Amino acid sequence: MSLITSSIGQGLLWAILGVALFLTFRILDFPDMTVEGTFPLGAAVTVTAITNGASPMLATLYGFLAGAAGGLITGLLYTKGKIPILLAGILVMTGSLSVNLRIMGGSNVSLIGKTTFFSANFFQTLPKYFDSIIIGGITIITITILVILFLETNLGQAFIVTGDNKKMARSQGINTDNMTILGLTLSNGLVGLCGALISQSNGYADANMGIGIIVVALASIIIGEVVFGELTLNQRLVAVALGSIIYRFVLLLVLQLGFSTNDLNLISAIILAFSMMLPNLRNALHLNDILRKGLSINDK
Amino acid sequence: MTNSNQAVLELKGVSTIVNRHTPNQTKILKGLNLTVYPGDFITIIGSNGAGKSTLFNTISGDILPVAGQVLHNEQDISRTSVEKRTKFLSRVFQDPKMGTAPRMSVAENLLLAAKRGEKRNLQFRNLRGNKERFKKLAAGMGNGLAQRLDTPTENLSGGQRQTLSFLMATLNRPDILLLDEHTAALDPKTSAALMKQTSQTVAEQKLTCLMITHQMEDALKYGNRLVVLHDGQITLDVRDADKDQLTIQQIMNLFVD
Repeated sequence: MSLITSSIGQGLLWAILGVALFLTFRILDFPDMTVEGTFPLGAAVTVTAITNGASPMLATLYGFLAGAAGGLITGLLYTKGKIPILLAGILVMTGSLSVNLRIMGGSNVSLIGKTTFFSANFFQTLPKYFDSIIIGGITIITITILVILFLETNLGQAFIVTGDNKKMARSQGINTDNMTILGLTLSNGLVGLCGALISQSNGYADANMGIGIIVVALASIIIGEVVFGELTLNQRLVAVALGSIIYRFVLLLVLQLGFSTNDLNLISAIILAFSMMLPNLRNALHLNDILRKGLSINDK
Repeated sequence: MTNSNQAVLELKGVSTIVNRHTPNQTKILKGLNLTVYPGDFITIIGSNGAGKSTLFNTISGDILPVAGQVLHNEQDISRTSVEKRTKFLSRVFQDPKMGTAPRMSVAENLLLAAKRGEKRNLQFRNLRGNKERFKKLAAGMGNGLAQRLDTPTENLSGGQRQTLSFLMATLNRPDILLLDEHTAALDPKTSAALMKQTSQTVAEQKLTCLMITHQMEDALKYGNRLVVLHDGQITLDVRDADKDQLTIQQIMNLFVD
């Protein structure tokens, strides 16, 4: 039972990362490495703010803003500085590692004894992991609704078409540079927010907590797509959150099999690689044909 | 008399250079002059490398001239960005994939085009409220586009996609319409149908239009004015009666150096 509640709680919290990366990876159509820097940045800023007496709400907001600032820099390097997006992301990611150490004044900071979202008295009366489910649930539902509403606006449509066909977007008078910067800022703001909540859930921030984060985010996106198939854009955002829960569940199962947490990055990478190959494997091995034939009465 | 009207578009001594500051630096347009009057439908022909596409890219703002001026309604727009120029200018590309957003539906593409050149704000787009209007418009094109309003454009045929691109370019009446070999990638039948549609729409909306084509027949048949581009300059510019008397053979002779 605790395995399930823990998966759901962690899955909901980490789903924010998936939705954030969806904005760049699927809509703008490029992999944004910045997230590996803005995730620990959001955590570092939030944890430092809390240890300095800020309220969890304000500290989390700072985490969002710090992440957004990182995304803004990547956006400017890419659009105005003409640095390829992959490299622009890696530059900001690398730079922010030093910034994080400066902010925290060390490689990790603990939140023991501090007031966080998760330390509220109300949560102590609930079974284990329900704090993550409630906080993660409220946050991801709010974010998903806001993103869906945003994508329905004229600005949101201009953002989508920028990723879909840049040349056509420009010929319709859309400033694609601004849309790209907007997407990166918003996405990394959400990544910073996710880092802020995860650090409060874990009770500490660590300078290395961003390593492999992009794989985690991609895994929830890809698993959501593989499991739920053809969906509308709005449904796909919900699928990302569900994909995130499934991914957490698989991870916990693997840990139950006796692997250590040190193996998690390798396992994450294998899960993602397998999920990405699955649609091709299905075709190559004719899995669908085999299934269909096995069920049909009359063979041709 | 259209000639007495003020020019809607004017290129004065425009020169462009590609691959500037590299060993491959090449001058494409060489002091080109062109004056376009309201209602002109100009067909543009020329051999490969003559500068036809560069001419369009200069008008659209994708390439900035190194010398000379581009004027719209007597305003200098030489340095105006591509996005700003879309307020009065629209364009259909040769590649059907270029003019539409593949993952977005036909209706969504049309809605984006309906707001060409406008500022994109946080108001809801109101797709449903525009469906009826789009359906009527698409039905006018007569190739099944009206039944596929909710289909992602990547699932359309090349002909339907290019028809959509054309519809999008003319949905919000542009001062200047650029057609860059817009029927070249289509099969002969589809190409002829779109060309007919083009001519009809240009006439109905009294559009000012520049059309690049490699089809000599189309260049002669359509439009009121014909321009031959050679080595970055205009070598022939005929209109109305003079254009009507032109034969394919006469044009072909111009291409033989």
